[in-house]
Amino acid sequence: MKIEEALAHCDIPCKIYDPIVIQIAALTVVRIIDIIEEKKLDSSKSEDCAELARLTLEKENQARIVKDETRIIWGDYFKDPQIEAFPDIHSLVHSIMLQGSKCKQSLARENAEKLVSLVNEFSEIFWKTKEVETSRVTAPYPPALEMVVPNLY
Amino acid sequence: MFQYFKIKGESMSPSLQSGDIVITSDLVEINKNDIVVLKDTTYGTVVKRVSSIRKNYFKVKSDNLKTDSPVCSTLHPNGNIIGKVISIL
Repeated sequence: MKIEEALAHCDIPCKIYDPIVIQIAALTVVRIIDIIEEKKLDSSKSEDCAELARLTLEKENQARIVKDETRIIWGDYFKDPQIEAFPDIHSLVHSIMLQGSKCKQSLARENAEKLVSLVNEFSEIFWKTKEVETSRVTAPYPPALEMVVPNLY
Repeated sequence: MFQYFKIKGESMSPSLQSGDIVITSDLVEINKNDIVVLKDTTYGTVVKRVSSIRKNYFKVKSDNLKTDSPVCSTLHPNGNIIGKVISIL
């Protein structure tokens, strides 16, 4: 008798999800705000004006990466089992979207710090769904804020 | 009607292991948390657990939380259910 196969397959298309991209982008937003503050750029000088434009563009780009990559993990990776286990994930992701926009709109460091904090929460939940423990460590590069890393050893 | 299926893959572990043979029936009522074999328009014959049921559609999930399947992202018409898993051989 030939028995038909029922696929319990998974992991299409690639299974590779990691919030580290989001974390680095969020830290970069803080770093760029710090650089803009440290440089004391003079907008009346064309060279400073060009640098300010470049930094601002990159700050917005990194905030966009935070939003895009968060949406991808939330939309593609989180399914019913993960959502049932962490029902607050929707409101957290929405908060990251709003905070990412605030960072694009302003140079307030506290907005970017809040974004890092929200992203850390998101990262912890992500790794919990994988049953991987995490630690909060100080990033080994500027702006040296707290970040979440998986305990993979 | 009763049908036999051979499980291929790990997404339903630990409930079902790759290589298990299951028997399904389409004569029993389907409820939330039942394991069903269904026909997915993209991926063919698939085994999953029912996560929610609406009037005409249902959603499924994997038991293995470490896996991810696009089959779990979509609503499936109730008519796509081949049968409920009633026994594992």
